[in-house]
Amino acid sequence: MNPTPSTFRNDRSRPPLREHGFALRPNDWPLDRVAHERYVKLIIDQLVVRPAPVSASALRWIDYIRSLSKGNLVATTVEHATDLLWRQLCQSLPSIYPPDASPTEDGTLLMSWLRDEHHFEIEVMPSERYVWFYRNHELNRDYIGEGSPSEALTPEFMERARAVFV
Amino acid sequence: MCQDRPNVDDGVVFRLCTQQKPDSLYFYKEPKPLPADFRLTDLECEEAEKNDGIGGLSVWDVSRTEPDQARAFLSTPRPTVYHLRVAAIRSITDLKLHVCRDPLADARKGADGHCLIANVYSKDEKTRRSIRASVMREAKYVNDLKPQRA
Repeated sequence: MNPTPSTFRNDRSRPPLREHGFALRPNDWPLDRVAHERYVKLIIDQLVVRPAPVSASALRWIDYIRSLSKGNLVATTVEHATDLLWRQLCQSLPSIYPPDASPTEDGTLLMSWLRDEHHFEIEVMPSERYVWFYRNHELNRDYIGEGSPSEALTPEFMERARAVFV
Repeated sequence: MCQDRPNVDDGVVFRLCTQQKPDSLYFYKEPKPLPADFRLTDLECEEAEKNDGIGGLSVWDVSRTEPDQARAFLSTPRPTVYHLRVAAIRSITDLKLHVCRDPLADARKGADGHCLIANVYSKDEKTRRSIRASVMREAKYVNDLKPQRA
């Protein structure tokens, strides 16, 4: 359905017309066809949520995750859970960056972020659950928890993660 | 674990990584110590449970064993070497970590350099991970691994 003036009347998220070269009052709709199409495009550009650009290192990390079970490094369940978890982390923590990672001798995938006094790790198990652990070396404080990519990240997880990914 | 074995009070020990293939690792930027390389396996945890809860992490005295000699005992290629100062391990507060000699019953060169970092096991998972993180912090990466490239 095409937007109509009433659709956007009183909508504060509507693009301000004057700033984009429309010589109209704020709640008016441009009647000229070219202006109308340009305005619709402007609205769509503003409404569509575009994914953030993915860095080369993030792409390399995603390739690594998706190559894990092919190389028989971990079970497909670990690969799947890690993939889901990474998407969840990217959505919840925009400042996150890829970890250092290694499969373990027990078939888990251990990811770690070591920065200054912060030690943060997440271990993904074949059961598709994960254990996270945070240590602040300077404060001598440790925190641990567990979860699943099918569950929301806990407030405690988020609090610790935000300390690392500022 | 170390009651009847001599302690190592100073010097440097090295730890070989657990990974067999550098390609299985991912480094975001430069190589850093990985928790997987300092992790007690499920089997080692079971053994520690049977040993009154005392567990040790295998390391080698640099003055007695070369990395290639240590690799020969392990039968699997372990490319990465981490150096740890004994004094730094002993200075980790609250954990009572120490290094004791644990020579292998093997006539090959370097067998006498095998040691253990004692008291790295705890029944409590949080404590176990905390000990590991503290040991990792003292580890210095010695040889370079090539991070995986896309």
